[in-house]
Amino acid sequence: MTRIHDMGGRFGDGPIPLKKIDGKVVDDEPVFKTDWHAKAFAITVASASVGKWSIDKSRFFRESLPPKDYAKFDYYEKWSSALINLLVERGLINQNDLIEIKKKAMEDNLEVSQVTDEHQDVLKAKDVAITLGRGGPSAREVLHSPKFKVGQEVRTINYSPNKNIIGGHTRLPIYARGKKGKVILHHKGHVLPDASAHDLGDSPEHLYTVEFLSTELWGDKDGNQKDSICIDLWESYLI
Amino acid sequence: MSDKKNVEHNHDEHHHHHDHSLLPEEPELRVKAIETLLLNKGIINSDTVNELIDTYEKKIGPRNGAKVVAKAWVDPEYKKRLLENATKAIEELSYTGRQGEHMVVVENTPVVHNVVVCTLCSCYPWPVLGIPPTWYKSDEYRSRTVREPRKVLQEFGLELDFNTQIKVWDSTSEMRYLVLPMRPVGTEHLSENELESLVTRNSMIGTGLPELPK
Repeated sequence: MTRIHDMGGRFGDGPIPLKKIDGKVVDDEPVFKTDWHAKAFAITVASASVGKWSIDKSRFFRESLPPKDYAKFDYYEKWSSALINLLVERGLINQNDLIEIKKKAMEDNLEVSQVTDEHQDVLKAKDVAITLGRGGPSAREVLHSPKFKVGQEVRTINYSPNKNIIGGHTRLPIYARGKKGKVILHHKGHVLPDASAHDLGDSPEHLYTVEFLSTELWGDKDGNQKDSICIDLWESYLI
Repeated sequence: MSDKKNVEHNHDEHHHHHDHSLLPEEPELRVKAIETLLLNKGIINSDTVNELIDTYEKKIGPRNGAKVVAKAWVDPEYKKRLLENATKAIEELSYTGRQGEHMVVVENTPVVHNVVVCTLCSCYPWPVLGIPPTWYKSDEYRSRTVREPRKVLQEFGLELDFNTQIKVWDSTSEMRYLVLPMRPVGTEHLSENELESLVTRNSMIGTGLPELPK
């Protein structure tokens, strides 16, 4: 089985939530729809400088929210809730802090105090542009030669690839498990999310883009013979 | 790793995936509470929070991607570099970094139409397109695009010829995909700047086409 975030191919979701005027799509949404969306975004990005979690770990914490919460939460509720859980797991805040701040919040008494001892790794405003511009590349050297070549037919494994953690993070969607496809791109070595999400190191592997026919994934009735789906997959996901 | 350690690890993580419920349920208050806590603990800095918001509201957005596309339309050598090594070619215009560390540009042709999705979360090329719109992050777009892309594109007003192949790119890794749309016909006389204004955000995701010249 998998987790609630792994929804590719799921039935039952309705129309794409688009703004339309006279039947035409209008693309004029503000970057952040509310102030708290903007804040949830910014405090998550800023906290990562101190929390030092990998992008894979932050994804794992979002997809590990209880399914009922995940389904109900708006995007930035997922971000802020997963952030709270990450901060507790990292020991940067604890449950007592949460209980105390909730009390203050409910009393409408949230006050920012003068901080004299910022964390040594805190992200400073002057470093924002350079930090974002640098990003966090996932390319890593892999010493062994790639197992697969561009043009080669491969099959995905039909179970969760995460070897270390039951219910752990992986990036092989369930809709593409046990399916036959063709390697169309080879991206060389990249950090393996299945390890990185659990603080188990980079464990880099060769990364490929594999193209699957729509009919291979969904069957002749549901698939479209013309169409294909291209998915980035790590070497250990493939046989 | 031993089985025993696995079990402990899982137990621990299970525990922490519910801590968020200790804060107020109302999202605005929940965010305000965590922001206050982090400011008071010196984990975040309020100038930085404002700078991050300002950056993505004003500096990093889809007009960056439009510049890349327009340049590729007028400069065949640039287009060649873009299709061969998108990360490097995009870096020529100084768009680099977070959520665009490893770029791939996929070209639309009269026979192939590309469309990008992230079924597992909401991966999106920030340096060239900014923060994704709400619909891109919706369950509806994430679940349906891989199974029924033609129906999804129809909702965007995009009716593709039956003979056009649709290639859906599910962004499961740190590779980030940008669609290079076809240059609209009848734009031979337009400058690079004028072309840039025709490039819509949706045309670079694959859920739309560039605008036609007025």
